[in-house]
Amino acid sequence: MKALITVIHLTLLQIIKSKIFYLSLVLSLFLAVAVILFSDISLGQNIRIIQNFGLAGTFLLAVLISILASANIIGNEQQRGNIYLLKTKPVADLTYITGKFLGLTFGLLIIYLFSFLLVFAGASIFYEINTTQIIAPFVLSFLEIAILIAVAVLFSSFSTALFASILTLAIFFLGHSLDLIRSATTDSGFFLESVGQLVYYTLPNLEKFNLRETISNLPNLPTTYYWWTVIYASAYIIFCLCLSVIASNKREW
Amino acid sequence: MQYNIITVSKLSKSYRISLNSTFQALQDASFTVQKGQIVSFIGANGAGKSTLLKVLVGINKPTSGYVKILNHSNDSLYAKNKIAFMPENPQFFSELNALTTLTLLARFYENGVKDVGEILRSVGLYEDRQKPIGTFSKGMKQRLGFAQCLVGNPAIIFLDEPLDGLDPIGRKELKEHFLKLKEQGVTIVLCSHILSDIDEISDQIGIIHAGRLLSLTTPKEFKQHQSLETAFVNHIKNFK
Repeated sequence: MKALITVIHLTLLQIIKSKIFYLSLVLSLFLAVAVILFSDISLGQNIRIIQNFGLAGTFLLAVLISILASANIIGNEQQRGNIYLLKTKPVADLTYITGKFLGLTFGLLIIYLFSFLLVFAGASIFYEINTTQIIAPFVLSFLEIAILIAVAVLFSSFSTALFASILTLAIFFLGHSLDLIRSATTDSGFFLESVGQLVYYTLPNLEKFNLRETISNLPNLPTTYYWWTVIYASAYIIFCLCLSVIASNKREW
Repeated sequence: MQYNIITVSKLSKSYRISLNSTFQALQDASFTVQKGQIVSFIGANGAGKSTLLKVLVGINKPTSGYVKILNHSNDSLYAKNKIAFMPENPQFFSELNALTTLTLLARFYENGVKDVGEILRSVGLYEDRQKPIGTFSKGMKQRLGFAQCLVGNPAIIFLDEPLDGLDPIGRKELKEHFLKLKEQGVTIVLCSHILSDIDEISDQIGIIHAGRLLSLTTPKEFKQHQSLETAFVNHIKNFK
């Protein structure tokens, strides 16, 4: 447990002291100003624009930072050689991978929460924002980011930082297009249909976490939907981390 | 009492370099190291010294053979609690400072030191403890690389080119450090190109050439009244 906490601590410090962290703070500030200014030219739809633009903006910023930070911290650690610092310490692969994942996730939670609060607290000075409407999309978006971090950790455990970033970005786009992929490949021959099915069932269905676009008329989703989404995210994260441990164990450093 | 703290048996390591060819970096190395000894491996560039150290500390897995540290597999957590490794050109988390880095690394060990300040003082980095490691010179990183080896109170320290990049004073201080650790019963296994330094401190010298451990013997036996450099060159020539 002490080793796990230390890996988390080390990873969190790496995030907080990195240039990416400060960049994300500055971008959050720009985003907050942009959302408020943009809402002013929206012909009476100010609150709707703030909610839609604010949620999408903070989410995309967090996705970008999560991919960059994961690849930077894990990938570069391996490429530069400071992996030897940890690999020769009494730290099991499972502890190392889980610690890195949790450290990155906590770090990204800080960044995401900061930009989210900055945008919506800033906007609430000028407009009356319905906070209950934006909490659920925020929580589900954060779960999506946690999945992307786990995917980035997996790719970093057997490839370079750059390649891991590209693959994670690809998963992000594919994960939001799974329904489209499945319907496009249905009735298009055995091979394509099988590929479509394989992609549909193996990649994370990230649309399940997307309540951002329906924010203005948020559907009355049952509580079980949220629980199942949490279970789905947790299962996918555990699956990715288990594969990462296997890949890390097999890797030559 | 002297006993074998490291046992290496028929250790081989090969790397796949293309689909149908492999590179044999290490071949059938067998030896033992006794507690409290300083054992140095010398060899030309690419001879297999760094590979040997990486396999010994469990970073790379052997293709065949095994390594036992205190009768435990070298990749067990028990063994990792007893060893420390300084790689060639040690790299750190450049955004963190030396004090934070060592404090966190010490927490991984069951028997980790509580006050890393003393270690930083002993390697001459105490004044720079709050500076980001990214601003350190090569020599400072080298000293920090050695310092991080001490945070877990290890029984065995593996060092890959530890004297590289250090000025004469730094080299002298580090050698004195090695001898002090040896007095405390710590075993040191290192590889280096600087033969004069190795000659001064080693109890055993191993010659590695083309992935083979040609000999492992005391400096006196190895040199036979020659300089270490001459003895080393002759040894390699005779092998060829």
